Amino acid sequence: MNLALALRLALGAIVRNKERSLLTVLGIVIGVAAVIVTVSIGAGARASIDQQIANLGSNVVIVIPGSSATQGAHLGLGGAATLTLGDGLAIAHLPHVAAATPLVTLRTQVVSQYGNWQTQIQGAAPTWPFVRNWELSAGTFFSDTDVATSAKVCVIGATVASELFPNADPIGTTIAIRNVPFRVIGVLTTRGHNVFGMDQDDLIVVPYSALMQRLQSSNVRADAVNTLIFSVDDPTNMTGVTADVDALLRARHRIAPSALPDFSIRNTQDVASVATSTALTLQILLASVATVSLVVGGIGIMNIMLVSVTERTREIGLRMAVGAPGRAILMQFLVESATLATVGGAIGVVLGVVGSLVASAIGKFAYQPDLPSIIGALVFSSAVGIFFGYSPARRAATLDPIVALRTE
Amino acid sequence: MTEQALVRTIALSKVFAAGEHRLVAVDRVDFTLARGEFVSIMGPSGSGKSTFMHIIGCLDRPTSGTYLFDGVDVSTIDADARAALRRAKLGFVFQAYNLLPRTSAIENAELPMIYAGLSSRERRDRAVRALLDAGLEERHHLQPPSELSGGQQQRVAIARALVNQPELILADEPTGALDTKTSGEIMTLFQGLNRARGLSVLMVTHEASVARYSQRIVSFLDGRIVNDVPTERYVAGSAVE
Ligand SMILES: Nc1ncnc2c1ncn2[C@@H]1O[C@H](COP(=O)(O)OP(=O)(O)O)[C@@H](O)[C@H]1O
Ligand SMILES: [Mg+2]
Repeated sequence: MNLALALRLALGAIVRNKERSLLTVLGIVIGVAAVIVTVSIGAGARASIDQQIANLGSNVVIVIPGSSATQGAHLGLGGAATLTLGDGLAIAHLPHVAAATPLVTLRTQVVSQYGNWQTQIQGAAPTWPFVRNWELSAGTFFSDTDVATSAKVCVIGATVASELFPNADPIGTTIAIRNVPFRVIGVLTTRGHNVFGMDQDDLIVVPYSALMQRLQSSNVRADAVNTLIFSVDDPTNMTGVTADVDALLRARHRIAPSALPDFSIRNTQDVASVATSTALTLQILLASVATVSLVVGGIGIMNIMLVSVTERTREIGLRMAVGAPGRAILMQFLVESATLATVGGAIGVVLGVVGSLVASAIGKFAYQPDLPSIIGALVFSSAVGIFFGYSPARRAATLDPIVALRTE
Repeated sequence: MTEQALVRTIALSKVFAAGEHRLVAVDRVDFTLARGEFVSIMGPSGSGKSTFMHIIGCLDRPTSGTYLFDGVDVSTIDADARAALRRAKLGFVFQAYNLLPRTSAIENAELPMIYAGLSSRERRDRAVRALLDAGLEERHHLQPPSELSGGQQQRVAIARALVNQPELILADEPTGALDTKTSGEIMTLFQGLNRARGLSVLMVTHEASVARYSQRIVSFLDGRIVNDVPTERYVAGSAVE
């Protein structure tokens, strides 16, 4: 008996027992679908992280208060207000620093004539659009003069624009931030959500001087900033500049080179690695679900194949009586369980692709069916079928033909 | 050549051991079937007829004794060799037809050829011919067993036994599930195959009227042959006394 014929027989048997076959392969279907969705979410997250790094600018460095002994999370990070405007100015004058901006942030309620909205206010320098690599869709950004005069002007993110001005042009209108009137002079282009699901467009940028003098409560240290962001003229100078900034800030803060600094320097690569590891955790979780369901699916196939062998004992006896050798029976049942599992895998691929499309629509990432992972899933499911089908098939092949024929 | 028996058993025995209990199902049977012969086996239920047929059909092995098929000792060959022998030289017909359900008559008849490695075209041709030889009209060839009468189903089973052009047909109560009229038709078919083609047939039956179609009647009792006579000299019930 050749393989093509065995395949035809197997397909026939599967079609004859449609409902049962479908139930049998449910585990495989779920497992394969989960694998496909996992892979596409992983790829989507990676693409979206890359996109955000590009958005951020590949040569951006962030300095935040507090130390981090190791790279990664440290709970004390960003706690004390140790960075000052002076630190920012000093950094801006270092060689290879293209531009720098301080960031002072607070969250508050904002009111326009159409409504109100809770959002983040960022106080920054006029270099902010350059450093953040972020353009305006309308209007202009504020200038050095605006900073010098603590002008009550602001540039709003796309989300804020649509919340506060549902059907109106915000440029030139006035909004109240903590009851202080600010004139809207620009609207930022849309960035969308980041990997962590945060809406990047939900912000308002104002001159840092205006925020510090007009919005901040007086008990905050006058020149303290939350963050210093600067961009390096060329990515190759990143390491050098980072070392220079470290030395500069240690000198300014009077911290010995061996001591723990009261600030941490992060470049976009560090940020990306955190994002990547988060995405990886999600992927590992999904992959374990996939593995468990594939194993459960395999056991389901083994179970139903054992039932099938028992049910078809007479058929097996008959096949043996007409001259089928044990290996032909073995092959028949192996091919049948492999085919069953592969059909399940194919259904899983279809569901997985649909699931990925849905996930990509929700998660706002690009999705393209990935052929290697689809083929891999199919090959793997037939392997599961062969592995778990072996013991039932062996049982069938070693049946005594007379016992098999006598079975009712 | 002609004097060499197709089937020959010498002191053939089959013992079933169930724990302490030993059951001698076939007891030192000497039996010969010449090429081209049509022989019936009769006897009460449990007398070892089926067990004997299974050994002759190479579905089972004797506990002791010798079985020569076409002059070759097959009592000790392994499972694969027995499968090959069944495939090439033997055809089985059962009381319960044993057709595959939800499978057309033609595909049922094709079954043995799958294992003989014939091309699908050859399989199809031979199956059609065998079904026609067995008396199943062409319009029934694509029907599954559930749509066929008992007699038609047995014809499919006979076609299946014929497709590999065997030397010996083994039929265990082939008419056991059929009415008298259909039984007669099936027996006429066997008789025709035997006479026209010289096909050897060994058949188990309970009914003397069925056994009449054969040339010789062998009676079993408690695993032993107690009577072996040409059909015309057979006296019903004589063996059981
Ligand atoms: N596989 C087996 N195991 C144990 N006993 C068996 C087995 N097959 C048959 N027998 C016993 O052997 C005896 C002969 O059975 P069988 O050949 O089927 O008789 P018949 O076909 O003449 O009715 C019976 O007593 C039966 O119970
Ligand atoms: Mg019997």
